Amino acid sequence: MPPAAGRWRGAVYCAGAGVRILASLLGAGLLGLPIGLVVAEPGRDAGSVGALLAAGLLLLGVGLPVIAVLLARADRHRAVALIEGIDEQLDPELVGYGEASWRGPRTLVRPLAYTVVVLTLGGALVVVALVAALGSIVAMISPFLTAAGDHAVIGPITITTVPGSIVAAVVGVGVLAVPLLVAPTLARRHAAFAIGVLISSEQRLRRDLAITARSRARLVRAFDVERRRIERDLHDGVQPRLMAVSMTLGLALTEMPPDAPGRADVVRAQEQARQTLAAVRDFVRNIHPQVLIDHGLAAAIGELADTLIIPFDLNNELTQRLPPEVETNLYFCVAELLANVVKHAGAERAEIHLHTPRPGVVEIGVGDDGRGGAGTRAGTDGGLGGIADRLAAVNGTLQIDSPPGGPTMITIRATTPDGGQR
Amino acid sequence: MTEGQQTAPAIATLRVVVAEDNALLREGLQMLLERNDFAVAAAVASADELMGIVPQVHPDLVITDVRMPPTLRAEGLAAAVRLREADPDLPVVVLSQYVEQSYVAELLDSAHGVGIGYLLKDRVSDVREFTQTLRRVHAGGTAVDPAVITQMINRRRDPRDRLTPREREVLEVMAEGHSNAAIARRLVISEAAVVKHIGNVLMKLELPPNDDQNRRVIAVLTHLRGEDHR
Repeated sequence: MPPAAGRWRGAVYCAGAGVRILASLLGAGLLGLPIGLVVAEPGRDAGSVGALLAAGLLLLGVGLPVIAVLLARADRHRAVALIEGIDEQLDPELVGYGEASWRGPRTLVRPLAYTVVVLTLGGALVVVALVAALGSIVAMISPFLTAAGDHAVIGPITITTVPGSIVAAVVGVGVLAVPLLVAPTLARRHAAFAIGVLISSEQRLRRDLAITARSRARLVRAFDVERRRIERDLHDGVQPRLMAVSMTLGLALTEMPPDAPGRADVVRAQEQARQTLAAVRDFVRNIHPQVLIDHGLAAAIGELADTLIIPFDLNNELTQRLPPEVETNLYFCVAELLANVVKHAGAERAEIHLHTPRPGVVEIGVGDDGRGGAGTRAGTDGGLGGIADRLAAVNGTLQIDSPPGGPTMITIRATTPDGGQR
Repeated sequence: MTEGQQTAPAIATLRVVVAEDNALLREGLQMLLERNDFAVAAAVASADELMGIVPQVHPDLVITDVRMPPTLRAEGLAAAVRLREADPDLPVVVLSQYVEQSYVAELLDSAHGVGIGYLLKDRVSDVREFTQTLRRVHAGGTAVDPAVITQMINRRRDPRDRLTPREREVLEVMAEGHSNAAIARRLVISEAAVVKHIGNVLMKLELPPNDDQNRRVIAVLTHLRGEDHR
């Protein structure tokens, strides 16, 4: 942000914090009134002194935590808004730190400690700033006073002459400008302190975790969008060009007499083009199978399983298409699981079940009759980590039932965002 | 390939409509067809145009890409299915990048499998083979790409009826719509061997013996597909 905007923001922040400090001080002062009476007017009898003291302490005991929590809440929201640029109050969808509670000594400790520091040190600063501001304002209007034959008093200084008053006015403007200059730094220090004291490491961890989970889901999504784009680029750009080469070679061959010199080379070139096309086709299919978009999850999984070297049973009870994001994530989970079956399980058969245990939930079971022990192989997560990433993106879970010796049944379960209403 | 003489008996020029969204391929296809005794009545770039032009020009054969604008999904295939619904006798060849059998299934479902072809685009480059396949489909034949057949056979779940490599080869060539004699030539085996292998294939798939080359292809395809609709 431009420095000027930051300066104003800082000034507004500091002014707000100052007002809250003053209000809190006023509140604390009112609560302390009975004790103040005892101090201000000595000579009461022991009974009334005791009663006033008890009442004052009681008021402070109940009231200070209230003031502390109110102040801490307000300061914390503004501090988070200043430092992290997010408004927890305006946007509840955003990942916040959670609220400080009125009850519970554990959550009260931080607001109370914070309030003590801010009301004392901050209070002193606010008072100094107010006095300086008041003096500056008097200095600025002093030229009018002296011109009218009057005089101005600023603290210990009394101004009677017009030139003196003009100097005072200039100094006053300068002093008033100081807060604007230091406000951004002051605001940042205050905010950093507020966040540091008021937000526990547990809150911070919980929030960071929520943010990480979200960004993980976002990454998976971005990853799939990118895969789709690459698939499209290959399909629209590379495949037709290769095909055109292959076709031109084919045309050339039809024009060549069977014994033409170089014919064998053209035949070889055509074969090479064809092999390249086949390789590109397999590649494209692995990147993002079009059949998933055209015919849905069950069809795509069936086609995928067709490429396995072991026989399998596909039992599909899904009757509706799922949201594209869910289909894509589940597809690649199943692809990973099937690859594991082939690679690690030593299985002779595999089975895949797709069904909807209840509306809004999809469950896919991938089983095999192999040696079991999935997810426990040392030094490797057997691709299960990638599956966890994808499942996190669709609020899914992974359940592994794979005793040593088998059989294995891995169940993945995902929720569909629209509650399966499609 | 062996009888490739330039002085072949005059063959009827077939009028075709070509639908392919990629200009490079569309033009290449057009050139290839026109050099090989086909007349391109229209070459269009989208499924909508295809649906519009066919009733106007009444082609002998339609050749369409699977994936076309605007959605870039299987629009060409859907158009082929609709064209067949409107005119079940219209021969249609679908060119595709996909070996996935669910695309073939969509086509077979619509048409009783008569006069249809589903080929990977790569096949176009083998010009003579490709044009012969077009003519076979025009004559009411069925042609499914060998790569798709391979995948269909993979879906066989019962190891009992696993085909031998030779039987698979025979089945794949047969699914392209070839006669026994043509299969024998392609695989360089005797025609008697072909008959034996086909008999074995049909038996393993528990299909009745069938000498009609079209009907047996459809029977085999239907059977192989039946597996995924359990």
